[in-house]
Amino acid sequence: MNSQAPEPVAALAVEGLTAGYGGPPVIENVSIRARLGEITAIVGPNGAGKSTLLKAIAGLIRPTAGRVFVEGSEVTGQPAERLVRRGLAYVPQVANVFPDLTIRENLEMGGYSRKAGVRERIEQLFKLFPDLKGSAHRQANTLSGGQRTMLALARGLMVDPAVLILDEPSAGLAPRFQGAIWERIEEIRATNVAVLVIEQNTRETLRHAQWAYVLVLGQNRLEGPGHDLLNDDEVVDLYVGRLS
Amino acid sequence: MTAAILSLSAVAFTLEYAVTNVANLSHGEILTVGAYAALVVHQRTGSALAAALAAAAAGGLLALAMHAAVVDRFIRRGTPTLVIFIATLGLSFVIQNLLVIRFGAANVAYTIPSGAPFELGPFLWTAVDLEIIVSALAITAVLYLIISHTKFGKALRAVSQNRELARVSGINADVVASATWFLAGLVAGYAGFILAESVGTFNPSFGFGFFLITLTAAVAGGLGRAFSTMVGAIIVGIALEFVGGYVSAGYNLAFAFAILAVVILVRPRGLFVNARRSVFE
Ligand SMILES: Nc1ncnc2c1ncn2[C@@H]1O[C@H](COP(=O)(O)OP(=O)(O)O)[C@@H](O)[C@H]1O
Ligand SMILES: [Mg+2]
Repeated sequence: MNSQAPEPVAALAVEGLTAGYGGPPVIENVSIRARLGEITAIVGPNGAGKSTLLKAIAGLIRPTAGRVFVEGSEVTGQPAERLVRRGLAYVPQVANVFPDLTIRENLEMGGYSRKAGVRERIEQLFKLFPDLKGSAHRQANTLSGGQRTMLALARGLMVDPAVLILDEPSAGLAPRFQGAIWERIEEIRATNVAVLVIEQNTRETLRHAQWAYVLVLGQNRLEGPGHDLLNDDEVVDLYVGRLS
Repeated sequence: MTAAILSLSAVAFTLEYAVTNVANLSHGEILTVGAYAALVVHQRTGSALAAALAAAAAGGLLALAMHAAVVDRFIRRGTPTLVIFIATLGLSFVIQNLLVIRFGAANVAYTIPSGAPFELGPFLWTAVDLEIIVSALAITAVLYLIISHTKFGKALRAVSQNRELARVSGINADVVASATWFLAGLVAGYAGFILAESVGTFNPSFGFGFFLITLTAAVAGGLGRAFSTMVGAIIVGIALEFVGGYVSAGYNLAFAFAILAVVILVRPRGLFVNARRSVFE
């Protein structure tokens, strides 16, 4: 017999998830996995249901079918405020900081569920995001778009998550900020976090992703290593474009 | 006096709004119930302090019940805000009628011997006036400390600014909203007590009349922003006292709405909302 080592437990496993907003399901029977120390990407056309999938995983909407596991234990249907304590952090696409709180207060809120070490964690994150340190007492609504995204990432990281879920972190940013965001995401990945990311810029995203899923009309369409999908004719035709 | 009472009532109203996005049209009844609770306890115990505490406690419990039984229940069902808004108006009439059944519709007297007035600066003061001003300032200071510096206060602001983001940060938004309504109820119930003390008589629609002025002050300052609301309330309150003193108290409400109309025309989001560094949030 071929004695293969058992596959390590995925940091996040989603099996056959179906969810929506009360009407017909927006995503149906979607399955994905994300591993520690890897970037996992979800790409697909606008309206495919990518954000909805993330909200269902994060506990903001209740799935009507399917199961979600964080580090091997089932968390299906648990509310968002409980999932954070299980090591799952979610950074929404828009409205991802508290505008009238200061940067420090935003981070304190990110660490709301921590029993201890909030101050120390903030200091650690200031090393990863040095821009934030200098303006710790400024309100978040005074930050530039790039800084705001950095703050949103840092808020999510306050709980030392096993899984970090990012909904289009570089959307709407100038290209030089997009590069900086990807650098941070790579650094976060290197600290053995499972990063699950949605992005608009499919080509750049697939370059970074160890594994990627293509979601179309609320259902799994394709999956594979990011580099392979970059060379897949269907993916290139539909979502990347030959010239971009 | 009006300014001090108004600012407590308006801050309580704005806190209720901040965590639920619902303008609570039964807010006035918290003051009314506070006033009746104070009257009953005062008659039994003869203690003004016990009366004040009873007013606050009754207000806190009533607000907690309003939130749990009506506002939060509708929010969970995804009921449109306008419908919840109307439901709170219905609740207001229900409470007023229950009070009529229990206490009658007529005015009841609530007079506290306040001693001879004394002179301080350009004004004449009574002991009750002083008590109202000092307690309003103290409550305001405590509220400020709670909201700006405690973990609960920061969570309150977080929930008010972005409920979903608060939840994914690990904050139980339902618990924070309930606690906020309770806190607002304590303040509004106490405001009902000092309003009754200062006016001297009240009836079951007592709080509703004052609520209309509260609404003016809260909207003028910037709804949902605690300290802008307070500044708005103080300005409206002082303006009303001026009108009451020099023209006629009968024009108070009309004048309050005139202020509101002007504010809405000039600064639709409130007087202080776009100030670069808002007083609070
Ligand atoms: N809050 C909502 N309520 C109802 N429908 C929604 C809501 N958010 C998104 N949808 C619908 O769900 C579908 C998928 O949207 P979304 O998940 O945002 O897609 P994507 O992120 O892939 O662009 C769209 O048809 C959208 O109209
Ligand atoms: Mg989206």
